[in-house]
Amino acid sequence: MELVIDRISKQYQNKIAVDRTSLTLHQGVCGLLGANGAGKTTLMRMLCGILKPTGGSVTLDGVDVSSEQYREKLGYLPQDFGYYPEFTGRDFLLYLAALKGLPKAAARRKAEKLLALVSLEHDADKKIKTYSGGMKQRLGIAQALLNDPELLVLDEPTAGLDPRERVRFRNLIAELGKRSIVLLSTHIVSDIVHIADTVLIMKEGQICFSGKWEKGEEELEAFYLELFGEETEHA
Amino acid sequence: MRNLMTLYRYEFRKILNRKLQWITLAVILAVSLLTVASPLFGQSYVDGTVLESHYEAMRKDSAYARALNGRPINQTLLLEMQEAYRKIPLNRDRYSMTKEYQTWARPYSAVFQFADSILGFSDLSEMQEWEADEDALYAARLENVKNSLRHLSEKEQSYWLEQDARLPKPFVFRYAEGYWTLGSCFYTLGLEIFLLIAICLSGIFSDEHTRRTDQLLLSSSLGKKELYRAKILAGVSYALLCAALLDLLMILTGLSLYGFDGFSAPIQFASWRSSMSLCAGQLLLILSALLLAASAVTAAFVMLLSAALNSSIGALSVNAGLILMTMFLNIPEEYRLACQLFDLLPSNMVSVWGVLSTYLTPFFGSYLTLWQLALPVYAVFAVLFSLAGRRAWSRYQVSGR
Repeated sequence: MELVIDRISKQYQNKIAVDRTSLTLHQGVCGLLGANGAGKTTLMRMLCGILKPTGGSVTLDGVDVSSEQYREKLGYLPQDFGYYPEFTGRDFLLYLAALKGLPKAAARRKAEKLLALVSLEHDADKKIKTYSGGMKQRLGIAQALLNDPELLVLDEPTAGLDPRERVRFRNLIAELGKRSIVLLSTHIVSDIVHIADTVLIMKEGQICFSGKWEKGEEELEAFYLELFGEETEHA
Repeated sequence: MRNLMTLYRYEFRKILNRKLQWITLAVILAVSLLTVASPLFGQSYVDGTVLESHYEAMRKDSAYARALNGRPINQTLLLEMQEAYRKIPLNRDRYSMTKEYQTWARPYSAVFQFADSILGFSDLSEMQEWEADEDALYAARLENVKNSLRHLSEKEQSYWLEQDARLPKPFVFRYAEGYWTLGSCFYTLGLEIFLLIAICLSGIFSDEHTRRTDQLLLSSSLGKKELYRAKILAGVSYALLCAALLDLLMILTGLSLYGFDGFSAPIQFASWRSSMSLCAGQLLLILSALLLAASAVTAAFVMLLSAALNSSIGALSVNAGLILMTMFLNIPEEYRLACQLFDLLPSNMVSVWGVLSTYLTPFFGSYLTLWQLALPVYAVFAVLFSLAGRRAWSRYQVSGR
């Protein structure tokens, strides 16, 4: 299992959001840190095939990002995703399961399992418009796991969760990292330290640090602050 | 075609989940039924006195007209009609108030209207002075038909005159008020349905962007191709279902009110200048088929705009603008091609004058009339719009926010 990002760039009129970034990711959790506007979300969108790079390529085990086979192996939780207010939580999962190509029976089984995993089994038949922010976020995490993805891209997955849930999901993500490539973007340094096998730090569209973080949380935070200086004040 | 039907059901549900859809559908249903029934509302007044209610008038006139069913409009009937009308005293302002009209002439009013529409009597005295003449009546009609074809090529004129010569004459009268009233309501119904489609389908793709669900959809394996097909299928079937439902309810209401009889009445009793060999029932069937085909192509066009503009307001505005344009724009007949294309637009085509249009298109040594051309043209354009929309949807880039 190998995700190869080769000199990927995204340029808007007069701004380079991602600048010739190259990476090779393997099974495990990869934590992506960076200030707002550093290019994290743009990079993640390009890895999910919903934003076309200006240059470069992305392949998963040799399969190009623009192909259906690539998306079959992908699970994605966007930072700010939408939902259908009139759908119930269960409907939402079944709909996305159908979109991910799961047959009906398998979709039902998987949806029930994931609803239990994200503690929504008792609220599964309630309309999403009645859900709290945390419940919606949990539903979002569940949908990303529907197709047992080989590549899981999570943009701020623990935002909106209470501390107990956050720790639970952190452990879940660590577990998923044992069998998939998990790219996790977050502002919460402690999450990265606890679960990331590799740490990536992005600044101005470029990866300025890539590697295993051996030291503790405080050291990573200090390193991060040192890299970004005052920029993190706004993050 | 993995999970196409499952996705189709979800997409259809998304359309039905919109409250605005139900409100618009209910309003349009009420308006279309009222349009059919409205000629029966109210009363006729003469000098402040109630003569009769419109409903009573319809009952009375339909009974008289039914008594003429099956009778050819020939010399015998024209003479009977004239004799009856000659009994009306000339010194009265409103002859419809006279006992003579009500007793003798009114039973022949349907025949009188047919003759009057061709000959154009300026007043009752002119009619009474006219010497009933079947040949002169049909000759005057033919002259008018020829005049109405002047904007066409010689070959087209010959085609229509040949068609006209084949029509069995004298025309045999049949009461078909239900069919004629319904025919005249189709134009309004068409506009209402096209507006409903524009309102309900303009957000089918763009709402995914504004709702920010596009990221989940487009990153899923079936989100670009299969989902697009499901959305198109749901949109088109929704449009067809609404059109069929409203069409059926309007026809049932109209025929229940005015009578189911008259299916085989010649179209010339609604449009005497027409040389088409059509009956009243065929007219309604053609209008219904055109309504369905036009609804499908309108749905495909609205969905293309929704995918291409990424804005439901934009898609709705373009469609509403096009509908309004067809209501107010008039292209002179000398611009033949522009005129023919303009008449082919769904909001113009779903009407009696659309069906009876004399524009012809050469087709393997023969001609297709405008409505015959419209059906395959709409099918081709529905496919083209769908293909163009797929390109826009699958290439959409999630950026910004």
